[in-house]
Amino acid sequence: MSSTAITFLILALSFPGELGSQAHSLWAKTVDILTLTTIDYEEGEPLPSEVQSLDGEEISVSGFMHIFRGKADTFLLVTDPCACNARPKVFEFIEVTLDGEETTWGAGLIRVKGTLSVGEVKEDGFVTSIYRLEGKLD
Amino acid sequence: MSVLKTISIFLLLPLFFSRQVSSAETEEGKFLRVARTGSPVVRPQAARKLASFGEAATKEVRSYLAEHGGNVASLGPDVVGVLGRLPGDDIRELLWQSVNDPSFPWRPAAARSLAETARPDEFKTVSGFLNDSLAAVRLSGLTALEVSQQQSIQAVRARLEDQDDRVRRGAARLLDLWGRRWALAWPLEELKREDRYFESETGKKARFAAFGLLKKNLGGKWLYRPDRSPTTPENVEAIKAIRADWSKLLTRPAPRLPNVAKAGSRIENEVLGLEIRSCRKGEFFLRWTEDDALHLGTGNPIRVQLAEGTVKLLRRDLPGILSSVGDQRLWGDPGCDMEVYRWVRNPSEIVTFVLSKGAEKQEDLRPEALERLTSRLLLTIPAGTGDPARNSYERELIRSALSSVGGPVK
Repeated sequence: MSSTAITFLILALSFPGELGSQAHSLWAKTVDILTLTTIDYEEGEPLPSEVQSLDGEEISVSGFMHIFRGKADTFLLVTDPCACNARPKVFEFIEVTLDGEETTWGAGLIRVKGTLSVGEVKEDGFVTSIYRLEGKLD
Repeated sequence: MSVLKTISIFLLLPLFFSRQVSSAETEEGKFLRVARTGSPVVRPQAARKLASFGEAATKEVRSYLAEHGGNVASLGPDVVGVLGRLPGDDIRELLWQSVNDPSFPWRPAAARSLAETARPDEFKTVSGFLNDSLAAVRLSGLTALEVSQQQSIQAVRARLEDQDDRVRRGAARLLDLWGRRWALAWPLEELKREDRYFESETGKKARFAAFGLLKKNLGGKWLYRPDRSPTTPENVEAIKAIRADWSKLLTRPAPRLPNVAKAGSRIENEVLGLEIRSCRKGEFFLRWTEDDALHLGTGNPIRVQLAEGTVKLLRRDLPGILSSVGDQRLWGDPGCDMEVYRWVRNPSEIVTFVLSKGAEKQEDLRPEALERLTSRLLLTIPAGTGDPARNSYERELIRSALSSVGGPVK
């Protein structure tokens, strides 16, 4: 490890608030997207504890962008590269919001780092997401 | 003048009120609208809510169909998927017509709807779904047998050799439910899968699904981690422990698995891939490898040896064939029909081209470059071999599936 990286690590540990997201991205916990998307989900029922425990955690997760047109700062991260499941169920994706950047759709595997939020979000009586991640493309 | 005004107001008042009434959307009307045109994530939820309205929902669907020339497909897959729960023989008849129509785009949804609500006089017909050309419809055949408690052991057993791992797993689960504990040999084998299809970790996905099934059906607590390689010492031990627990339940020797169900080795030398997902024709996974082989399917695919130099020639010609594409990687709009071409340009770069469309026909979606590539690839696919497994990947079937997505291959 380079001396710059070591210095950064020391600073990050000493002043976590100051170094914010960079420090978080270094320490992000790697999560397999399938751990999140293969749960038995019933609307209104408690989510499995191993999934709930990730709420608020800084994570790093790999997956594929669900197909979209144009540029966007929000997209769905899914398990399938072909985006073939045109209708992912509400627990089968992570809704990713990028911090201050936009992206275009790409077919390849991507990694995203950021803060994961777990739990049902409802709009107009419908559950619109279970997993949300605010962060950056790695 | 004032008399005229008064008369006008009286004449217009009924019109005003009738507009107020017709524009007031009923609850079931709202759920039908959202289930058809809302965001894809909420459509299934809206469809379920619509179904809970019973007779009122039936009336709403009838009224919609009357206004749309009886076009059931325009209801979309989520509404079609709940039609079986609605009262009304006419609605059920529409579902049967839809599932029997090969050009209907939402046959899996129609089949699922019928399977989940199968009536005693339909059991025989619904279990016929087990032999459908679409894997999603075959899965509904299993659902129908489970719902109707018809223990058609032989028919379900035949599905343990299905080309689609979801169907094999579903068959194993159902047989186990019916006391054939030996059938869990299928998901047990899947715990060892490490296969990929290019960047897609098909083996890992299978491990997650198989482990979930084993946990439920065997009820044990093992230290197996589906997110990790099955060859880690912890996972090797865990697989042994699961197998030991399962073996205690057997009343006969463990069965031999067919090749298609065996955990295959990872294919490392991929050059080109063609993945077709057609709402009407099903799913196909083909890949050509450096050693002049064509691999059909995922998991433990069928290997077809091609003439020497076939793939080398393809590799040589690819840059020329694809040069006119430029930077474009996506054609069409997101939908249930897709053609995905993958080209391993170098060991660290996979170039992917995607054609995508909804259920409606589109004749000329495929650009000229991909048209040329497709024609070349088709020539390498065997035509009718007599081998039932290979026949599901017969050249004309692939041509037909391509035709239903990007248009006819010239």
